[in-house]
Amino acid sequence: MVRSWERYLLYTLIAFAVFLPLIFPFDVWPNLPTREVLGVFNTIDGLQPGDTIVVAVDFDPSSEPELYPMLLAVLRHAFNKNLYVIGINLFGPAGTGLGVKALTDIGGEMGKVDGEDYVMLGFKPNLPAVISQINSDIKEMYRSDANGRPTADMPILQRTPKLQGNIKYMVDLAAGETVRPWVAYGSAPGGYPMGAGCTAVSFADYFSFYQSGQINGLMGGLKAAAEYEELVGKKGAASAGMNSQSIVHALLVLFIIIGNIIFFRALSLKRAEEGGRA
Amino acid sequence: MATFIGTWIAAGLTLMILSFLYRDNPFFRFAEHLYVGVSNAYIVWLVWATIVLPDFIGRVFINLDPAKPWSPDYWFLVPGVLGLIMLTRMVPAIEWMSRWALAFVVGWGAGFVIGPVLNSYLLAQLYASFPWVNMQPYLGAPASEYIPALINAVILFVCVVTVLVYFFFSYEHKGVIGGAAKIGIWVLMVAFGASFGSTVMARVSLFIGRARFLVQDAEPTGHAFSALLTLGLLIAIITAIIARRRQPPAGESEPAE
Amino acid sequence: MMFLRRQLPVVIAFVLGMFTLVIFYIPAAPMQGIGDRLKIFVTIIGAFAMLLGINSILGQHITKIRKRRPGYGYSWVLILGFVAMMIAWIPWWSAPPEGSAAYYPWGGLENPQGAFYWMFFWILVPMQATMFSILAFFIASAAYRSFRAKTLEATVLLVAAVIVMLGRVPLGTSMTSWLPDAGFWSSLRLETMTSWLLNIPNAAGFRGIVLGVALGIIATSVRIIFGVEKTYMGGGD
Repeated sequence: MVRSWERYLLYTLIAFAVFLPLIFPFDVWPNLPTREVLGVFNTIDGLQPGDTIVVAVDFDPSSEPELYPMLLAVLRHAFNKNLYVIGINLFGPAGTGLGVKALTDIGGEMGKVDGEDYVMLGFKPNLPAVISQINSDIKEMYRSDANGRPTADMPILQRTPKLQGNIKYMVDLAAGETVRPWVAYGSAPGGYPMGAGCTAVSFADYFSFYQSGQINGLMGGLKAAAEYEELVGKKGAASAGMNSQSIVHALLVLFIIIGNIIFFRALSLKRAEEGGRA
Repeated sequence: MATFIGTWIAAGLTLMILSFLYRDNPFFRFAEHLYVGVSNAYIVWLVWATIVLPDFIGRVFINLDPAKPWSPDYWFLVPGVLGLIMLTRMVPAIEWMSRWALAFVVGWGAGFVIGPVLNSYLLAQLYASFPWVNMQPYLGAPASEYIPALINAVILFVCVVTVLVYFFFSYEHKGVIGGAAKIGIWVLMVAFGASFGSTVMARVSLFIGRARFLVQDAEPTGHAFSALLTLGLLIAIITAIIARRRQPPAGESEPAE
Repeated sequence: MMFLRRQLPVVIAFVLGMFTLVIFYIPAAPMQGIGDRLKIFVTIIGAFAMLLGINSILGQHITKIRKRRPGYGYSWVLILGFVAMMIAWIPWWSAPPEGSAAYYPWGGLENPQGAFYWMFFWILVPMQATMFSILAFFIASAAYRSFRAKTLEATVLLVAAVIVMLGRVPLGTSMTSWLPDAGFWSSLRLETMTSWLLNIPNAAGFRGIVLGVALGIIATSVRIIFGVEKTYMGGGD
């Protein structure tokens, strides 16, 4: 049983553990790149300038702290390599706004032109329908982009009228159940390789698809975003949060251990008492 | 200027919602209702401006791009009408009509998903479970790589089989099947444990994101602002604890997970 | 009348379902054309369906205000938020963005100087993000309360969770970085253990679940096509 002061003590400690490392940043613990993140990074790194990739902004503000830094890092990498980027959002309506902002910000920073080097296709309901339709024709499904510009004459969509056979890679940054549909309706029938980035909530779920090679890379949560930021060479929001993340995890493990010690002591006391009575 | 005001409003709203950690309170409810109102209006914009207008009205009724030749495509009256029929749900007397539209979408989906799900979820996943498939890339590799890979491939296969045994032979857990099912449970426990550990990480990351907004992104006013906010937050929490401890205990009110 | 209410939906679902199922396996060109069109149709219908939720929420709160139920003041906040965002959509000041279509109402997200854009990024985004960040505290308290090594299964779960929690942060991996990074002892490093745990037993566990889900999806789909499963139509006649 948790008494309420115990809960508030835990809350206060977590708040301190999060805020203090952010106010007083330090750089002690190296964030080692993992094989799963390198899968995405190396694939994008191996593409030729002028190739087109799809980046699906399948998240909304509720997982913005994890996936937005990841999106920025992937876009920075892609624009650095002079790739063309098609952004799309099929998860929640609010993700469209985040995608527009990320593409405009990073695109502007790198001197890329909207409609020429990148485009953000907006939100549409019914994931399987949209994915499989843009595999065969983007402009029929998207008559306008997220900014309301007609797609008919857009240079990037003239070059890439459909996903199948035209794109070299697809990265799905997913907050929910979108990676598996992208595999089933997009990547498998379209024949393009796919990587995924997801929140740490669904990170463990997707290993069955990573193991089978249906996705060739998997970025999970803030840690993966921080790794990608380091690989791209521009530390940002995710890297800044890793210290807090570390300390909170250590704190929680400590609390779990303490909780277990208390539990087992109470249990053994109770047993001793019962033994004494009998 | 807009950014400056925006930062303050966003920071204020963030703190209002965080105040729920103490208990449900008027600030939280204000922010919650404001959020629902604003996000619904956003959805109206999205549906109208990026779907209904370009995809339906722009195909059937008006030419949205007068510079180009255009002819109406009356086939698109079908989804338009069905969409309007969907809206009959708002009128209880003719609510049943919306079933036609629902049946259209659900029936389409039912037929459409079977093939891809069979291919990508079932067959591809099963195929990748077999040791000889997973050992393909290691053919000809030195023993120091081959043997660990082989062990892992076999473990994976055994794990998948035992989990499936646990799922599909749920009626009888005795003998070999029972033993396999037991291992299956352990495999699932590892998976759920990994998933839970990872979920903790995700939730903490979300709070870090908000904390980072309060401490670092609130640039126009600099760090003084953020330090003040942080201090205020902590003082509020501590005061809350003291206030609560002085009160006679009014029953445990655990917030819902 | 009964036919329109009960049988027609089943017929529609059967025809559509059979058609999409058949063209997946027999991809004839003219059929594909119809199939592509149907995909656009269902997204348009789906867009209308998104409006339903909004109607029910607004309806609820308007009734609450009208009947002066307790807390109706908050319902005013909701309505005002909605109205304010709708007003912000009107393109008050600026010209349409370059290249946009003639009849396009350009007051929305495409106008970075507009009030709509401002409200999206300074009100909607921070609030939605914060709503979910509260869960950090609840999950921490849940972990503290419920993680007890009572049984063998619970211990397996606990150990896996702790390894992943430590192996996925730099502090955790730094704790074992003194171990060599090759050879036998390297397998005791936290990141190696985490990676193995995620890639082998965890992948197998979730594969079992995916296979179950796949069978479930296929079974439900077949039941819908043949009119056995009718729950999507809701209750009543």
